[in-house]
Amino acid sequence: MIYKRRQFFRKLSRGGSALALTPFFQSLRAHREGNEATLPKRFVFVVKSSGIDKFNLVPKGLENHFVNPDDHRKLGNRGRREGPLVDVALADHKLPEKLAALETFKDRLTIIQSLSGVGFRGNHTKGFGTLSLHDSEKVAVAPTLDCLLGQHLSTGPYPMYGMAMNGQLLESAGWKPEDSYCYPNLSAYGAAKPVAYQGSPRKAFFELFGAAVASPRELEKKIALNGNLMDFLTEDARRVEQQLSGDDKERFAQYMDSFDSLRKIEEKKAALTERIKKHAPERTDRFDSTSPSGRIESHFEIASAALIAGLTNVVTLRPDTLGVKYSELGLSNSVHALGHLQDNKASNGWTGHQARMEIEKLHLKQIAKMAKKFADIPEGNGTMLDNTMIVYMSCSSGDHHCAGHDWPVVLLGGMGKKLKAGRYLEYPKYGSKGHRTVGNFYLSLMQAAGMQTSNSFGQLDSNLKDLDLDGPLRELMVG
Amino acid sequence: MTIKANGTGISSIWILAITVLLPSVFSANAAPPSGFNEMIKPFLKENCIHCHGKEKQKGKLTLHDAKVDFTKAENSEFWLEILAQLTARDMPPTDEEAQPTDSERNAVIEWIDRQLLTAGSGETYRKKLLAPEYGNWVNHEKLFSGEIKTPPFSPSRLWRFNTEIFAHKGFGKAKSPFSYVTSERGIRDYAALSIADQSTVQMTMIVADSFLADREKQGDFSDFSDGKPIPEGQDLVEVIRREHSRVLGRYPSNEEQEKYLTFLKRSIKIGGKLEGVKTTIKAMFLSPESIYRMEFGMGEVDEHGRRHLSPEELAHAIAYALTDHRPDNHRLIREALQKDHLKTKGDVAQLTRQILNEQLLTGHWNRKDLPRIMRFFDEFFGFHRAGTVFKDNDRQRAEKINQWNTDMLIHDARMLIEHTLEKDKDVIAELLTTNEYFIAHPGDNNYAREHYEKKIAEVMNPEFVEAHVEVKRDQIKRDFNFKDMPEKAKEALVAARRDAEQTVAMYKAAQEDGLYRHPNFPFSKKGRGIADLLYIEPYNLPSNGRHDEQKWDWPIEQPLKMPKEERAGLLTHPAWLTAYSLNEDNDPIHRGIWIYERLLAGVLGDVPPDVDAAVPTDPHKTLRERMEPLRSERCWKCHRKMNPLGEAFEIFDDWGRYRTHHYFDENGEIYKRRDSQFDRKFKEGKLKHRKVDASGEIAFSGDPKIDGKVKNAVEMMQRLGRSDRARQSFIRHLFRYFMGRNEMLSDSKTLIEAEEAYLNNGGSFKALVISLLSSDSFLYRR
Repeated sequence: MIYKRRQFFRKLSRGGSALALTPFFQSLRAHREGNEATLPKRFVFVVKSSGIDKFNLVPKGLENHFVNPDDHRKLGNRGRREGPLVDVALADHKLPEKLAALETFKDRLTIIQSLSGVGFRGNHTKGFGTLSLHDSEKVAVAPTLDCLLGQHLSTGPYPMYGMAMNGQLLESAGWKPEDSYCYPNLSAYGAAKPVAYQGSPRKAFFELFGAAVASPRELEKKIALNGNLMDFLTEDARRVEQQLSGDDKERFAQYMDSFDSLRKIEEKKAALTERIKKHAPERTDRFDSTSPSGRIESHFEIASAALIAGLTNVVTLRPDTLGVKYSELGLSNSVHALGHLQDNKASNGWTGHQARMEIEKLHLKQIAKMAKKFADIPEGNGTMLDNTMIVYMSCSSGDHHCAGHDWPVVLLGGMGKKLKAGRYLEYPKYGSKGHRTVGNFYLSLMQAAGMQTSNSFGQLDSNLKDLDLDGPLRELMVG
Repeated sequence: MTIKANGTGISSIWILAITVLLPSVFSANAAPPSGFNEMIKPFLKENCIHCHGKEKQKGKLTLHDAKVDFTKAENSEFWLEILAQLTARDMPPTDEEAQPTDSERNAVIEWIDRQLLTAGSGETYRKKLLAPEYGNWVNHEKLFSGEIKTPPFSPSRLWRFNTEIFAHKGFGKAKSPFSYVTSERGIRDYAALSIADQSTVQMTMIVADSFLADREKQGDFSDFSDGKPIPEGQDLVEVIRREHSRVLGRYPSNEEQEKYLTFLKRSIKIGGKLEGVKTTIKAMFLSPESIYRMEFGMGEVDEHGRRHLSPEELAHAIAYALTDHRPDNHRLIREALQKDHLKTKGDVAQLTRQILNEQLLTGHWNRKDLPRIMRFFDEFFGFHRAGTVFKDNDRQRAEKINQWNTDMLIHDARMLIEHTLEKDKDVIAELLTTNEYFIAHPGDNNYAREHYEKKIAEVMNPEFVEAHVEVKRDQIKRDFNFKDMPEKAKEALVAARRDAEQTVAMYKAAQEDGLYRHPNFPFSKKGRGIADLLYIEPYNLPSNGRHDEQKWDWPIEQPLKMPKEERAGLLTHPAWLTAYSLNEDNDPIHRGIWIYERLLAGVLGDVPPDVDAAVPTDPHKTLRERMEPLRSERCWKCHRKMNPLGEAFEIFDDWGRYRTHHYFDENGEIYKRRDSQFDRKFKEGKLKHRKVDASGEIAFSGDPKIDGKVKNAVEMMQRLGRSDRARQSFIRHLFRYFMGRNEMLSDSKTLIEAEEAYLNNGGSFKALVISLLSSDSFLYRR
């Protein structure tokens, strides 16, 4: 059926505003009923490259198993010391220097260490394997966590939205941020269905918040143009369809149906116009900046606004890749080069460890800013932050070269009181009793978000077949 | 014109049969369908009912009361199961003395299939048969019997473009929106399984957006910017023509031009000039022609109702069969089309021969020049997936694999194939039995020697060490990691000197020992980036690093002969062995399945849903011993087909190394280490050993000449590799690759002629390809 645009606009004017208000009504209802479960749930995954260092993630006053007890130097990639499960309240300890920016959110913060994700290839990155927990560095073989959550949670036009510094992991000379869509090999809706990330903040702005800066006339023009295209394509495809029969015709229908789906995305966006206008970020020159910190700040800003406006419920951000040079920190070494420095000096005199920490701090500062925004928006009996979980992690586990035996995660926010917060959790060393995997962690997030799950997520690690690895992380779940 | 594809992928004969049988659809109370009392009942009585009848109900299944109303789903499913059991030859059990003859068996299979078609059921089954995994369900004996006289054809069809073709469409580094849904283990590009869905269309949209953004940046649409008058008439036509050619690779017909022109004008009216033109280009990107190849048969119709592909269609079909490029990118195809030499079977044979000959003269059968040929060998053998099997670093160290470089193993396997294709003699048997391998060699003996001599001259030059240090000094100057670090720079220079001196010493030592020092081939078209001999342990050869003493007498002239009792063909090559291995061990089951399906054209039933795929762990037992439970009656029904084939490869470990013994430690546990700890324990007599049992059997192959017990995989391959069955099975797979579908019984003539062409030309792969690409199956649509 060729969709009648006029019909659509009519429908929009009648039903559109109601559609746009749905989350608001949901929120009202929840407020009335005191039912947190009906509030929208959101996730932000911030997946940096080159690993998140583990040795400087331990709160002060706790035994640090990631350094040599004699000289306090960082242990090697897989070298953590043995130790039992550590499950302590952050309130009783001072946060490590790296997390200082999150001090005000200490009660919403959880640090998890020593989860493993082993059996996925990739020397510098686990690629799609990071979020799908399959051996899948460059080719998507299974759906990733962010896409699954997005499909479950999102009511807006985008099940999930991704923004990345670049698609290439390790660019050759002359690094520069990507100015269009790119594939950082992180998210996928399924086998061979990778998700493209937007690199350019400006383009992301127009894609998501175009309605905010367009006049009603322009907006109508845009929708009309898109509708015109979809009509033409449908009509054009019909000429071929007439020549087909049987299986061919059936397969061709999938292609033809997709025009309708694309149209629906635009319709959903149009239905959100008022909210988009209200929450659109301010368009700044920074959107065109090519400095890493400028990019990162813009990506975070757009992501926050997209979540607030209800355009999507899941965002994945890729703040850096190995080629990135944080020149504004005075570093002319790439992230990759820094990963190899260890105690050697970087271009600005910092050691490799220091430089890596400063980069993480730069990301964490943005995370804090984002959390602040969410904490200022009332929702149900609390705020939007109570229903939004920001997950800071790396595609390269806990080191520059990822072995996957220790995969640190920093969690900030909430999931409608389903997940405990304000904890430092450190699981026993890889292979020892009580050890848990990233898969268990992902199950926790999925279950907290109200998804039905099986007892495991992703590929199982045959080295750990003697351990009990079923279900979510008990220490993280409420109740 | 209305074109109907039959697309069922079964046999044209059966399809003819429907028209005859259609009026005979019966109701539940009607008499059983024709043939049931005459043929089916006696067959069941003779072969089935004594285990599945009133007396005995093995597997809780009875056949004496089988219902024959095929319009009921539960009945058709019941009969489908019988069909599957008979096709896979899982029933009657092989240990039953009385077996039905092949023709009795086939008659029942065909009867069931006919009833299903007549009743309009079995849709899922028919769809399933379109997938590569079910190619062998078409009866092998019948295909090659010569009794089928139906003129071959392919269904007219849409075939979605693939990733490889997309990469050559000229859209820069854009990610391909096209992906396969077929299994990674096998032939991938099947027309009937090539799907364009929402994600394909969305990704295509992203490709279009990036393409347009780049073009806009380059100023390609400056005529459409604000402030300039709206281009009109001929200008707009020119834009349509230019963009159509850019996106779709050809100029539009008048009708198409008109279509896009109308759309462009309308889009400009709605969205303005720039947006209007961009939307029009997007429409081209998302058009069916940009997504699908279309093969409807626009040429002449023959007396059997088959439509010949038109010259243009043929140009596309040949181009995509042999290259990943549009036809106008290949000189020979372009010329043939221009000169109107693409009309007949003879024309197509001539063109294919020219393309293949030119290939043989100009270089390797590698990906760039004629990518589709080498890709067939990848997909058929599957050795190119060696790198996808994860092997833990800790295991590598302990088991003395100094460098696990699957890329190099794959390279070596490809060299072997290229060499065999160049000789073009007894190609199939050679690939399956040869012990002539290439190891750490670029394939071209002249180049290898040339490069070696250049390298010797360079290293033996008295200036070598100084020059090397000088290069390092230069590097340090430019590297900020050495800025203000004179100590570090000094150390680096000392190290560079030491390395260079070591290199000279090692070359000298090799010369003194009468060895050719491996000369580190560069990354170039000829050199192929073969750095050193660090990866060669899987061949049971001692490895060495670039600065270490060379322990293996690397032959500069290759292929080299591997021990005949250790290696026979590609299936004993480390690349293949690894591709068909598990993370920690061999994978006899998939190896067996590979041989059963690809060399014996065998049929396996679907894996029952309740099968627990895990082989029990027990550190005291060898893998073969641990697989013993599979010999129980229930499992063995299927596993008898694969295990005796796959277990013959136990003479190799899962790195591809030949082995004669298993070792056990003091606790009687399998000892897998091969490092210095192994040497020490071995010397101290702390290890017990037992001979590897790699005995196997070829059974139920359909060819009594090759059936029988084998000592190990090498003996098995020598026997299998030269058999008629393996040759025919190989040809069936090549057919599938080129036609993008499973064979139907009506393709019988094509397959028989292909085999004849191969045999009459001394086992020429070239002749085989020419025969298939000029066959009726390739040329005609219906």
